[in-house]
Amino acid sequence: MPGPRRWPGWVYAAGEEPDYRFSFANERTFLAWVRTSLALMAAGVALDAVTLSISERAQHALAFVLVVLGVLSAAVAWFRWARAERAMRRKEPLPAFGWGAVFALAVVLAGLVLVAVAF
Amino acid sequence: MGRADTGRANERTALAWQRTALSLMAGAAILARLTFDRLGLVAVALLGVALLLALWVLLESRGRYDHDAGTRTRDRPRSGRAPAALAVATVVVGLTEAAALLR
Repeated sequence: MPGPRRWPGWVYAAGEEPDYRFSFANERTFLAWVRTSLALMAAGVALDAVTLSISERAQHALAFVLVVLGVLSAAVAWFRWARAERAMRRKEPLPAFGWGAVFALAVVLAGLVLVAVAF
Repeated sequence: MGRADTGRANERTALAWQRTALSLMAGAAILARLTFDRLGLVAVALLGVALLLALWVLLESRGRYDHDAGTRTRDRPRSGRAPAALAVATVVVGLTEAAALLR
């Protein structure tokens, strides 16, 4: 497909343009992940600010875990966007969502820790 | 796909870009204020970069969807740059916060 080269090449070099509504849905999913990532970072800031009944080190550790989870989510989300866009262009199945399991598990564990220490 | 389609998918997506970019800008600004005590001007510089990236995305997203609506105001099609800009900005915000937590 002629025209200006789009970045990244490994997404756009092959295949044909999908219905733009699918590309937009892919973008909106990525954006939702960015907002999720920001929410996790905000939770980390909040944990840093409040005083809970656990030691300050444990609190910082939990806040750090949430922030790192947010950072990873944003990075993984971009690659997921790119792989999904490529799959749509090549009419292949969308990539699997292994990160979803890791993410859900991490959030559940963090929530359980908070419940355990706050009560 | 020649007819103009100013449909809801365009509008939803443009709005999603705008509110995400704005959230990122607000987060970077707030975090700059919060981490200045622990990290100093380095934090402000990093978060300033994140804020500028998000601002760029906010401004360029206006024309992004006119292209696919068929009104074709841009000759450069959508790419992974704007998503990458937001991803980088988010990572910078998070790493700055992580550094502040480690202090």
